[in-house]
Amino acid sequence: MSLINILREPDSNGLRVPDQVEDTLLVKTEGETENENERVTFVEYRFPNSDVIVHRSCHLTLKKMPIDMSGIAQPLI
Amino acid sequence: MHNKRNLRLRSFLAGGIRWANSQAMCTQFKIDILNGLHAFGTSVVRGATTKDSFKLALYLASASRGAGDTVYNTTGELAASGNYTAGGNAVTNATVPAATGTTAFWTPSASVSWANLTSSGSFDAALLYNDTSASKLAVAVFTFGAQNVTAGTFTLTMPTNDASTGLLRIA
Repeated sequence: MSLINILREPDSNGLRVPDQVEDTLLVKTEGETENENERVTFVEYRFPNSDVIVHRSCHLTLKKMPIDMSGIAQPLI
Repeated sequence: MHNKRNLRLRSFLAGGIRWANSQAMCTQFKIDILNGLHAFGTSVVRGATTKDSFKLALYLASASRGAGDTVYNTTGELAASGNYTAGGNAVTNATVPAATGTTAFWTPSASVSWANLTSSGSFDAALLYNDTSASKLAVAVFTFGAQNVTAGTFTLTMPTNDASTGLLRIA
């Protein structure tokens, strides 16, 4: 059991209040996406029977950035 | 017979070992650029010989950061709320620029992380800029798949620091 930082679901005014909740009270979803440039792992928490994400953490690993600076010298004409 | 053999040997040496100039940007120059040793235009008086500090700032997917950026820009940056501070976080720079083959490269030496962050929207870009320079000179914009973070941690782990994947590469 551990405490998870969350943002409470929006109240009647649409405000979301920070809080901490035991992880056993939440539904946890983990996922992973990957392409040639990056790898992303994430974890999301929702209250049971709710679609609202109250916590989402993300770890993004850059594998290769598709930019560089070409240093090819131009010919002197 | 002996002269013919010498003639063939001289012909082989003339054709086999070919001395020639090759057009190239010097690899050391590429490293020196990363170390700030050249100024082809008006430069600045540097206060010290120590390395500069760099930061990464995060930008909303709706922003328009890119090659045209000259300095750190607050337009489109994540709002300074939800534990995000305007200007972003410092990058750890413990590895000096290097080169393999003819490609010079540099990569921050540690991940950059935002704890207990709630992003003000979906973000998909980070601007690397020079936090030591008075005007916060821009270095590069890196884009990635759009992310949202809610009361969580966003960690940006750097690519392997080498000539093919380093964050900054001069090939």
